[in-house]
Amino acid sequence: MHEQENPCDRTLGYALATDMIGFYPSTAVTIPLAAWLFGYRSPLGLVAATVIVIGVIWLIFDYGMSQDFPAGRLWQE
Amino acid sequence: MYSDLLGALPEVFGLANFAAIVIGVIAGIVVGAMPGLSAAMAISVLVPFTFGLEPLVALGLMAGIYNGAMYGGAIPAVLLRIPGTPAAVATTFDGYPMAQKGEGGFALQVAVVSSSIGGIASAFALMLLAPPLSKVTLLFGPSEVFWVAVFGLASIIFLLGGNPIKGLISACFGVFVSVVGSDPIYGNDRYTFGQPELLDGINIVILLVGLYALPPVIDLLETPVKTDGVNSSKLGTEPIWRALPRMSHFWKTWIRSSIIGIWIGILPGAGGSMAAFMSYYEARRSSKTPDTWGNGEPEGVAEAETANNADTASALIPALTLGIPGTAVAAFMLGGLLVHGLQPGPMLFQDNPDVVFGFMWQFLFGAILLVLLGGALATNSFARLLNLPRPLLGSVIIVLMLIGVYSINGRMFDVYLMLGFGEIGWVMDKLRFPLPPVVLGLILGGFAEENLRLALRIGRGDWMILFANTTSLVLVALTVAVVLGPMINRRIQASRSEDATS
Repeated sequence: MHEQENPCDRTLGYALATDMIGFYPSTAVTIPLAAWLFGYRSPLGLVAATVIVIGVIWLIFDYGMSQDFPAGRLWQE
Repeated sequence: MYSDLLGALPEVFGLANFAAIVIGVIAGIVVGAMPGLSAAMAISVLVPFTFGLEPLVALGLMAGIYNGAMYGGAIPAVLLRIPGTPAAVATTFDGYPMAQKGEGGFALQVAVVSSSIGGIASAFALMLLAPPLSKVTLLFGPSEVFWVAVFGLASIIFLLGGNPIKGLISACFGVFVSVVGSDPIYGNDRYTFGQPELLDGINIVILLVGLYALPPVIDLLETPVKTDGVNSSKLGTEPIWRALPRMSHFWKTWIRSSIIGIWIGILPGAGGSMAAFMSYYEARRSSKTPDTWGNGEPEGVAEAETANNADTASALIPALTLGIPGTAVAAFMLGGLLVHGLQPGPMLFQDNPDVVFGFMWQFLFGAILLVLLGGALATNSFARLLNLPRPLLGSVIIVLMLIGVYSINGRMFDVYLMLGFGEIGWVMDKLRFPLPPVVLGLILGGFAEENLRLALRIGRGDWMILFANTTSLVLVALTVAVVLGPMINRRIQASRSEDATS
């Protein structure tokens, strides 16, 4: 019997990426990657969803509420 | 006492506040209809968006989502035998057989009307019970508040069922989490391990997202739902005014399940699914024709749907007056109140009557809107929601949840903390430790500690101050009853079954 994996482990990768390379780059990779891995294969849908979600997040949080997201520690040195 | 209630009414009809309820109800129905998405998850995603909103707009959205989701779960439950939310499991028992008989449309109409009635009853219970209760709790001194916290913890450990020892361990973990941070009186650091981020203690929303919201999203990603779609011809929907007379003899069912739902909602930790199951079995037991149950008895749908909506507003009765949430969703709502600097408790009723009483009205209007929106929009169009691409949806929700936790304090530390709680929660779930006591332990642990120490200061260190007045003694007696009650009950039942066998 194989060991069951804790689902939260996988989200950790995304959190670490956000911390290191910044929120927007890692989100732009994570949304299509996760959806593709779990079986959603339409390229147009992947691109459209990613662009719309990031655009809306930017509009509401960055532009509307001036909430800053992590810019990434790697670039800050 | 109730004049503030009327005073808050004009506020609720403000454009933004009312629009929030409408949007909330629609969003809630959509969320509920998607198997795998729950009200708790939707509200946790919503929390960051509410930072920039007025408190009433934010709360209206939450109230609408809560009510909408409890009905929305019935749509796939009836049409496909897939409960949209855990609370809709009991709806599948009779809803799906009805759909197979070509009465799916009627089943959904029964569901929407019953949900609405349950929600309205619950909102009235909140309006009638919370204000007098807040007057009583206003008179509570530190030692009484300490005993209320102990009572709340004892009832969730011993009344939930399951293993009380495991419940106790879960609660202790929650209390331990509440201890982290700087000491409320002396200000020295406790279990912060030199991390400045831990000085203020751990925000309840972080724990809630880790334990309750994140795991089901990952589930959503991993488990595909295959549906053949629903063909519209077998629904057999007729206009609602023609369907209503056929429901008129349900009034007894509606009253009974409303009462059961309201009661379950008030009890800490027990949520919509327990309310739906309890009232379903209660109704089947008392029915004259128990054979028809499970074979498409419309009353069964009415029963389950009334009850799972009747626990929504009533869960806020102890939440608003004492700070003890009745359900996980109510705990999220408490978190939402705290985000806006509104500390639940009796003072909230005095300092912010507009918000508290407006919130109650929003529950009422949310429930009323449910029948209008759900009745008009539901049935066929909503069944198509099941065909939304789940992997895409899941990954977007994960992003929104991370934003939510990050933006509470604007730091990544909280995100890692949330994942850590997710990890612990996962292990606890595997070992069958109950999760609600953890949440209540965190909320009530801080309460209990602060008030115990305050009481001891007033009593100059004499522990007898805790037993010095009647209210405290009543609360102590209630706590003892909650602890010993189930044990004695088991003993009696055991001796009875022995008698029967001998």
